[in-house]
Amino acid sequence: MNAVISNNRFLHGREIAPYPVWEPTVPISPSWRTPVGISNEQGVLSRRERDVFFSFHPVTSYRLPLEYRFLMLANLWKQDNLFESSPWRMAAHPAYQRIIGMGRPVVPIILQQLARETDFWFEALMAITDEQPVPPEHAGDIEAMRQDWLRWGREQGYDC
Amino acid sequence: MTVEEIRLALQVIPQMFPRLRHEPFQVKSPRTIKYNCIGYAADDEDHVWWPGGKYWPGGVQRDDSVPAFVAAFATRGYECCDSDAIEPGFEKVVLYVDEQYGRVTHAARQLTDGRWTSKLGPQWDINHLLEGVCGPHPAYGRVAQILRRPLPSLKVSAG
Repeated sequence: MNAVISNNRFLHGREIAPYPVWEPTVPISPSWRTPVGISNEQGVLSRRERDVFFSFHPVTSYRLPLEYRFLMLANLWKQDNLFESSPWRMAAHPAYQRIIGMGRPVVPIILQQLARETDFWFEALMAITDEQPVPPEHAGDIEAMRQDWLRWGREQGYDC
Repeated sequence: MTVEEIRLALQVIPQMFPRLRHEPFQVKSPRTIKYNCIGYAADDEDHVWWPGGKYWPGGVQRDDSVPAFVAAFATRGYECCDSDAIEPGFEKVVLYVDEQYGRVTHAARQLTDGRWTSKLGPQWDINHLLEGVCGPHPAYGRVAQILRRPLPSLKVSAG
């Protein structure tokens, strides 16, 4: 059931400007598994993620949360590789390399993204984890490769 | 494929492929990353073909040079040829390479009416003219090699 959400919102206990009218007003539940927007299908950020983003001061804040940095880089990577045929060149993109550079902490985020939407995250997962759960007979079968990595993630205790 | 998706494709594709602003093309399929342009050209819509981590025929060198891709297509019965014209009894594939390094960027397959069909990265399949997808990045560079193989039905009848 969709709850009616008040347009009032609070930051650090103080009421701040309400959501603009174009904000989505229907919550996506469960809130702790809110899809995040990096594709056309999921092109709208949820309130929760928008709140997290704007809760960081643009000048004085510490670093943005890892999830958000991942999303920004993934978005950039997808935009720049809209028509790229080569998985090599896709993986060589600076944004993709920066995601790899985030190291182990980004693995659960990539796996959750992979669970939501199939994409070429295999090279990143392989580079970060130094694992290859995809058997040779699944090479190139993207759905099978995805399932192999998700199975590996669950075996490692990740929520994906 | 929805009308919205076709509209999106018709809007986005010419932005990336300058020649398609003036040349005709048709969007033929919904977006999918199940296969890529190489797999599509090789008539394999179940695999992404690329050396290193994706499907790649056994025994073929694993790099993105033209000879490596020619060898990969040779496993499907293709051989090099010079002409992009329709030849009765043959089907053709073309390899595109980037202008700067000569690395393979894309492949397309010839249709019976002489046009070419190809998959644009992880996006749509389109029908286009041979050089419709040529141009600087993010377009696919230039035509590098034409390949051909006897049509399967004729191979059977000849045998």
